[in-house]
Amino acid sequence: MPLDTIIELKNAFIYQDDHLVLSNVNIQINKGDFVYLIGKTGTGKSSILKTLYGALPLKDGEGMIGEFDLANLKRKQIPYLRRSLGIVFQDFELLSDRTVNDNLLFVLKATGWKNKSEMELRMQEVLDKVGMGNKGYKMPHELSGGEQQRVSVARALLNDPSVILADEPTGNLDPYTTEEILNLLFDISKNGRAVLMATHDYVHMKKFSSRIIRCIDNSVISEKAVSENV
Amino acid sequence: MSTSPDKYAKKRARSSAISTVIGIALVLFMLGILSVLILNAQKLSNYVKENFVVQVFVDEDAKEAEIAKLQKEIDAEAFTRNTIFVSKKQAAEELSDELGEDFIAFLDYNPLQASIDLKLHADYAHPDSIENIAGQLESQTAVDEVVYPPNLIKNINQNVNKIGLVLLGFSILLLLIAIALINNTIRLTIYSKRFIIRSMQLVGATSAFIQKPFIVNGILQGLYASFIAISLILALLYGVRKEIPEIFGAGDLLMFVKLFGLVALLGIIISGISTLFAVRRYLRIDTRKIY
Repeated sequence: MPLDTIIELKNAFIYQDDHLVLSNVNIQINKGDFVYLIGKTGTGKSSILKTLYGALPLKDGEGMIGEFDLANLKRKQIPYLRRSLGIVFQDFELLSDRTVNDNLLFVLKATGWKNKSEMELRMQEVLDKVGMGNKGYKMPHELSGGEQQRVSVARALLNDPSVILADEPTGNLDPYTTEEILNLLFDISKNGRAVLMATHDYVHMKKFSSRIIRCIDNSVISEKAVSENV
Repeated sequence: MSTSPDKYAKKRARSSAISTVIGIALVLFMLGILSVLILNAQKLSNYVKENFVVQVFVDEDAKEAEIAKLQKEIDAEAFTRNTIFVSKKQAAEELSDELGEDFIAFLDYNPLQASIDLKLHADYAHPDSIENIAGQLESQTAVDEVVYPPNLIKNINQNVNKIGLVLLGFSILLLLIAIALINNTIRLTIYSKRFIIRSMQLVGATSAFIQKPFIVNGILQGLYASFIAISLILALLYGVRKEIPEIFGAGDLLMFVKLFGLVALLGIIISGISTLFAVRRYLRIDTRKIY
């Protein structure tokens, strides 16, 4: 495996329970890559992402993300695997019972931050990055979908992860906000991190052209870059 | 405006916590009261036994000195708790009071006998020993007759055992119900937070980190609940003591401290463990089964 490979699936078979979703998956993603994961609904985009963040077990084949071996992942390792990733969920997964600031604070505390002023500084930093710097006091349900998604991106950035996994992060957003979020994710990838993003948004894929991984008929095709006939 | 949904959510969360605490408190209260009853069953039966009166009727023609001597002799016996001499006149007055009618004026003479009312120590208030005592007293020359309610003691002895067993069975049943009830209440509370628990897992929090605040909260709830339960029990005992002052002495203080400690411990353990199990359930559950 080359030194700068950060995600790798080799001959992986991806199951939902006993149902085979994808067979013989081979993916390799390097540091600094920005990769789109596309395919019709139900073709297994989310399943690939779930396998990568430990929500689905990898029963067959080899898998590696950062320093974690997915095929032999132990239950106790899963939290640590997820800390090394930044995950942006389609349905945000914000903690609905506390403010944006407390959401971020929870992640920081859960991942071992102790110094209060450092934590506050970091929270403000990531919120500013996504343009939510003055809305930290709000509850998630007081925010629009786009704003919640930005908070979710901010949360993914908290621990400066080397990989960002995004499951249709722009699925609920207007074109303008989508562009902002995509710009943000592109900037992140330019700083030497890998971004893997599942999406349906072909319009913006043309605008932000990059490598594509396509899920079709139980298998995965990797393409170098977006071509005009997408 | 923007803070009102926030306040509403907090209010709702608090009211559900309050009903959980009250639920646990009521169950602990029932358990505590039952324990008090069991611990005091012996005392209660002693209370009845020691207030059980054996009437020793004195011969019509016995002289005052003879009666005084008899009373002294009875007082000296090991089985005697206390004796009261009731003269003919006193007996008549008491009866008149009870009847609300001056029956002596009606009858023109007093048919009642003077008696020595004997109260026994609880240890001697057993049907066999009472029979002995009665026989012994009747053989005295100054004694005409010894009278006592024949089946009362027997009934008390039998019933105390029976009631004790029933209470014990009942409290075991209640304990099981309590655990089930508290467990259910807590599970509902945790169930309503299952998505939050899942989100916490997805952002990389360890199970221990997620569990901790829930369990601290569970223990606190148990503590509040036992505090309420103990206050209720104390209030009830205070009321009972006003009616029957003999029933709890200063010597019972240790027993009550132990009992209340037990109630608090039970509250904390049941609430804490239920919370632990409920949270672990949602920590381990498959993401797709959460709905």
